[in-house]
Amino acid sequence: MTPRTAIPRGEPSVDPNTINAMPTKQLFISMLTRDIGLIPSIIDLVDNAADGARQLRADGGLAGLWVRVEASERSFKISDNCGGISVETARNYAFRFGRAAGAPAVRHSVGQFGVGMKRAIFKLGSRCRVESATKTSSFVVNLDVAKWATSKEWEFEFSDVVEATTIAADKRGTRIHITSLHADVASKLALQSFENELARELERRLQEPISRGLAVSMNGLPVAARPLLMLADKRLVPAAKVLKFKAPKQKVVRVKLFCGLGPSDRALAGWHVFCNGRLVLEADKTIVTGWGEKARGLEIAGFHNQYTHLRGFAYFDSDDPGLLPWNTTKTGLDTDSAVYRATRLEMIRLMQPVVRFLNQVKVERQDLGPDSSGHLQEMLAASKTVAVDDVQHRPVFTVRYTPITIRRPSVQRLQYDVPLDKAEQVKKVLKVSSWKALGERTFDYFYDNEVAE
Amino acid sequence: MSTPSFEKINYAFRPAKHAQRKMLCEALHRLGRLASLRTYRYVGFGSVGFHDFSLFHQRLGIDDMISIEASTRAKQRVSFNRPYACIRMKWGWSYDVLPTLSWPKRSIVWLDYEHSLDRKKLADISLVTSSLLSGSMLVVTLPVEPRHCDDAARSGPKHRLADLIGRVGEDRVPVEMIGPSLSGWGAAKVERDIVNDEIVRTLLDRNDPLVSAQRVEYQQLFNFRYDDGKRMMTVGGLLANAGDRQLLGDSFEGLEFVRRAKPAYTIETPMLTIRELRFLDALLPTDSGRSQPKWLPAQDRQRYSRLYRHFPTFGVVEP
Repeated sequence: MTPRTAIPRGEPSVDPNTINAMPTKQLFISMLTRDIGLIPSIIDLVDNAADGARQLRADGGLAGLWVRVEASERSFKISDNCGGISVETARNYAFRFGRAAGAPAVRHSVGQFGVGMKRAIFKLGSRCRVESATKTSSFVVNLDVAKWATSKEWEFEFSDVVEATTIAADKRGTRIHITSLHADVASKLALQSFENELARELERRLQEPISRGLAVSMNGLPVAARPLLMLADKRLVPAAKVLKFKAPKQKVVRVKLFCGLGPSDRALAGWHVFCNGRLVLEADKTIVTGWGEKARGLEIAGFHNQYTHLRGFAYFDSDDPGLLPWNTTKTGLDTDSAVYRATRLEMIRLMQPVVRFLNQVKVERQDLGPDSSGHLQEMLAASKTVAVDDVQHRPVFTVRYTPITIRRPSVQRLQYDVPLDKAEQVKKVLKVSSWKALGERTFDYFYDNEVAE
Repeated sequence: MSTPSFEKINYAFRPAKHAQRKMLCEALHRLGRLASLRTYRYVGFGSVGFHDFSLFHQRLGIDDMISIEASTRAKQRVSFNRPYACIRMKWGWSYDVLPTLSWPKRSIVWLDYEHSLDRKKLADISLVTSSLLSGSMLVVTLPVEPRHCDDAARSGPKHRLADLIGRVGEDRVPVEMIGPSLSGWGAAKVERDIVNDEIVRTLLDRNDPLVSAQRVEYQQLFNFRYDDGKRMMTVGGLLANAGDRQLLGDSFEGLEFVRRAKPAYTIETPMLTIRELRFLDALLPTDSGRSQPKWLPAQDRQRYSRLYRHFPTFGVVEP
């Protein structure tokens, strides 16, 4: 039977001096779902499965563990074999709104706020079946959201509970099946483009567990991890820095920063920020990571095409995910976080020499024109792409080269306006096809006749 | 590229700047309570004169010195004038060079700019503030001359405010600021606050995740103004954690030029002949002015009494 929790009920107050401030469930449902997109809410569910995998294999590989996502216009299913949710956890924590004190912690986990599963269910549809089995217990919860929203109790009921049993390893895991999808969700899930988009987001956001061996699939197709690449060369060495923050009586937050160059790609240029292996901010080129005039850091006007080679990677890791600077939807950073603000100063410092180098490349390109390639451009072209984890680095982005002075005759560009009809006449007389040639020929004529000895 | 200022002004003959340099040196000497000054690094803009480098090497014994020089056009000339082999040259603008430096030891950084405050200089200040180890000193010198322009319409008070906003950004300029407040030493007043704010704000970010013993606080020690033909200001001070602050105690007390808040110490140089200076020296420091000859202008006598320990003597040396 359903255990009673200590959550107070929303009954009218009988004491005339008491004011009822109980939240309505409708507020919860609308508030929780309003600020998150469909894809991030689905990824929250995959994150939960990945956290289960991390718990099973604290420091080892995740091979043999899987998460399967199946989405269609009729229903949404996610299933995994990542250890399951125990009846005890379900009873006291997993269905609570918000992370309760005393909730079992998963070291280095992504789940933190205690809203992901409920929020995803509310976001997607109005009926849901959650089944889970661990080594020693199993349960089923059937949820009718509309019915639950009108009931007074802040409780869910088990449809089936089995405890003190032994469940075979291949039967352990969690399965969430959401039906009666909201109309807008159903139409989105029916789109091939949505499936592609979700698969790509999974690739990006879950690189760490996937590269450790977790098999993630989307409608039967495997989702691969895409390694993050940097350009490395003996002459172009990326910068790396490790920071450690430790407040009294708190877990350590470790931050690993890399900054340097990558293959030219506007979509990938900028900072990529990870919290406990989860990509939170991708290719950021905004004030958040120090770009722009108002950023009080990197004093450049903002992102321009010359910076498409810039890559920055910031990995925040802690056994206590509450100390990491992510927002609750894990789609951005909490820029007021003390750890982030201090790290941002370092990020800006690491980025400045890279920006300077790319500015020099631009100048070189402008000086030499499109047909020839200068020393800096050649260095860029000769660099190899290397996975971030394997890259050789130094404390500061380092360019090792001896500038070659190119001795070119100094030239002066001339520009002036003349009446078009006169210009056309001269062009005809000179038998030239371009205005440039006209300018050169008329200048040479004057020089030869009036200046040269 | 604009002409480097050392091709226009001979810094050796700027008495107020010279006095300021000696005052700074006297204050820096007091850092010795933390650690031998020989263990410090000095980072500055030596130009061709390297006056600060010579003084700090001679008086403080610092031999890890970095001079940042943007004028690559005068590379050979600057290198030729480098007075000591321990000075390493870093070529480029400060905002390009500073991010490439590592900060492994306590440092004294003097950002002695020849151009007005702008975002890039504030970025330098922020970067250095976020990097310096406890027990370091940051000093910033800036010209604060109201800008003159050939176009009368762009020289008025209104333009001065627009110019300041253009240089540092609207967010940094107080909302109540009006153009006329920027005339005279008004710009120095505002820009001292802007620099101070940048340092404090950067330290808020740097310190927030740290435990209190590790937190590095800024204590302003310098707020100079002087005018050797161009209005200049210098602000700066100590960056130190609680432990270092305790070790330093009242080290900077008793230095008459130390200014810990907004009011500035103005270096006003007297106009006196060498013979007059030497005569006054013989009466100082105890003389109250009574025995000084009345035919010497009172203002010059007072100025010299305040400054005599740091005041330079320039003479002509005929070959």
